[in-house]
Amino acid sequence: MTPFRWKRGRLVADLEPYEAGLLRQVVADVGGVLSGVPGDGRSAGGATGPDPVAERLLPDGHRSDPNLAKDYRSLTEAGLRQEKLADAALLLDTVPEAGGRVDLDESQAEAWIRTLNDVRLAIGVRLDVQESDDPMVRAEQTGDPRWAAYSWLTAVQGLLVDALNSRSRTGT
Amino acid sequence: MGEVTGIIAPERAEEVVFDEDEDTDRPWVTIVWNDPVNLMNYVTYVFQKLFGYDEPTATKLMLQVHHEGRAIVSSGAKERMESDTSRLHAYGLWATYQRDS
Repeated sequence: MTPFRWKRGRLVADLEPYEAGLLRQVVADVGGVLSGVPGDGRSAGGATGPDPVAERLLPDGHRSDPNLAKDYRSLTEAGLRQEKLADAALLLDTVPEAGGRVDLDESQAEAWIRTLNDVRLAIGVRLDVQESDDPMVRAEQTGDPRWAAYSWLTAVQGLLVDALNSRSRTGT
Repeated sequence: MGEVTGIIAPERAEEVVFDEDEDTDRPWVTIVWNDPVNLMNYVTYVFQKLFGYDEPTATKLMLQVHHEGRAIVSSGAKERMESDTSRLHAYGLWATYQRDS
């Protein structure tokens, strides 16, 4: 993948076919969790209860008062879920299936960084990512391809945030 | 994320904005908690975007979250803190609101 760069007021990058496939897959996975599709988010052994990924993406608004947390959820959860699904759908719409040029306006790039963050949070919950983890070292140690995916997604999100910052700093 | 030494105690006056026409007796606050996944430059970006903080203020709050585990990012009426919390959740930051203690 080429890093995102500004071109005539838009952010563009080029994706390899396998990168486009990976991105589409992880975003679709999170879309499934947000749509309430049960399945791979649950822990092994048929445990019941809410998907921990959904709990992280739509967290409680209050730490100690269950009534306040309930009020917050009833006020905001449906809207937040819709916004996140809309962001995920936008990303899927702007990633060419076979790879190639991604071409975003600023508001689309905003949707991208939110969705990339949600995807990283989801993988972070499933892998139990800690602050001290080096994803590439963990990828080698465990052989789990999700660590490498996490590392790549981290780089993509970080570079896109830098690109958005460079524009707001120069004001061009 | 790397350690940064020599962080001074945060000055709350810079990061908490009180509206004069609101009940300032015990205002409500929005808190952002540390999270092992969220990127430092992303958190700083979100604070600037959502609250209009300049880069040094947003960076200071981000570092406070990182080093102390939490930071108050806004303060005011309950309804506004609910709204701030949900805007932070839209960006995937781990936020809660509560009465100031």
